[in-house]
Amino acid sequence: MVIDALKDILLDLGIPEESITDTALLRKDLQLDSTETVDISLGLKRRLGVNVKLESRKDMTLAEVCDMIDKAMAATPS
Amino acid sequence: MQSKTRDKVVITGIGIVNPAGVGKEEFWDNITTGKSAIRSISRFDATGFPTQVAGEIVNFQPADFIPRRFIVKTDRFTHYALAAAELALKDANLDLEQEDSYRVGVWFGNNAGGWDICERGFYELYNDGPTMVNPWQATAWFPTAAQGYVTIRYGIRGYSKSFVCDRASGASGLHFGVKSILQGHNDIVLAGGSEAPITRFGMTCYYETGEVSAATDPETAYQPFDRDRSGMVLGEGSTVLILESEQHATARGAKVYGEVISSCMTTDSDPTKGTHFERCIRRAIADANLTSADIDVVLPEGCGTQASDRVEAQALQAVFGEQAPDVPVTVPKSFYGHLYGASCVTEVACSLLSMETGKLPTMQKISHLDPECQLNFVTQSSDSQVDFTLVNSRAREGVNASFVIGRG
Repeated sequence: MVIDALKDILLDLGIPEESITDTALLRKDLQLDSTETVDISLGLKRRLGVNVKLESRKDMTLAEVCDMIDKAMAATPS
Repeated sequence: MQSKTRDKVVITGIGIVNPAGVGKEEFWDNITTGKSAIRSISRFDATGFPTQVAGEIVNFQPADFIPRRFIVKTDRFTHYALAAAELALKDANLDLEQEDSYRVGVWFGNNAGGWDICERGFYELYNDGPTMVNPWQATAWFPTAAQGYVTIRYGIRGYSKSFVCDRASGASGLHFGVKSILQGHNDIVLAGGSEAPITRFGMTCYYETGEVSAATDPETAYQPFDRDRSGMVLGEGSTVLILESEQHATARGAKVYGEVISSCMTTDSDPTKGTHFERCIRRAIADANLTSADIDVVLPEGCGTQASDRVEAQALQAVFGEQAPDVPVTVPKSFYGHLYGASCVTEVACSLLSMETGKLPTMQKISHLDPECQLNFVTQSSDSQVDFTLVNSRAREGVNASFVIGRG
């Protein structure tokens, strides 16, 4: 479910579907710029109601982003 | 900085995204056969709005021209500019990867910025809160965004500028873009501009200027120089022209549409007078080493307000003297609306297509000619040999621009 939401957001940004994989790095592989990264955070807030900051110095894979989202969802009171 | 003096600027490519057609062929076919693209607004429900008609582009798909990642980050006016730039480069058979990127410039006009994304941003702010505004709001609305994204897309790094100058925005881009080649800064310039004001907020703001027509009948809403003219009708779109130094165009064997023989800009501090508008026209013709008798057709500003059309007609009558009742005058924007940032360059494109096809652009029919605007208006399809045209542009506060376009 989380990966589906993330994938939808990336597709809306115009990221080619074939490049959206668990091991794809946000910056190195998907070439996301800072505005696109912010848009992913806004999209996750809208769709899943979680606050996830992706603007860290460390490049992250999509699997690592999903882990962050899962943890954020678990910590968010329902 | 390296500085070389060159003496000729030629036009080798035309890109048009216009209510009257996407691409020069469709556009020109409609303009020469008198098919108006002024229609009741369909982009949004205009019920209750003071402005009911506009020149809308209805058959444009950004993805046909622009990478999706660019589309998401930019406003409609930038989509039009990116598409027109692509069409112009293809038309010029010009591969910018083969050029020195520091010798290529982008000189654009835009008046309104990106109203589409502004409305989205306002909605996000007032409905969802300040942390939920889209991350492109700050850059995408800005009038330089079209220039910026065209330079990013093609890796252009030469001397470039954008101009916000009301109805003379596009003319300013062309005037100074030509200079950038003549002064030796650039070999190639993408000159033109873009505009996309047809949104709820955009149309409302323009109406507040008092110059936009409140007429509801698309057939009669935009009638420049008609005694009963009711003001401007807004259009949207982009025109991009590929300018080159003659030397550069010749070296690569480019097809030359024509030449910007001269350009002049002046300012009337009192916009209700045309003293310096007349001087602007005279200087453009004199700088081309021509006389008014050499001009085959005039494409005036013709914005359609009572005051502005009268001032322009008087200036033209003064310059053309006894020939004033004979020289063909045509206002093709009466078919697609005033384009502000893309105005003037679109009429320069009409000049070039006239020279190429031997057909004159037509204009909306005039029901009752204003007795103070006695000129020879081209309201029927007609064939004519065109060697030299005069193209005018004039901003609301009296910034004037005149260009003489020739075959080159």
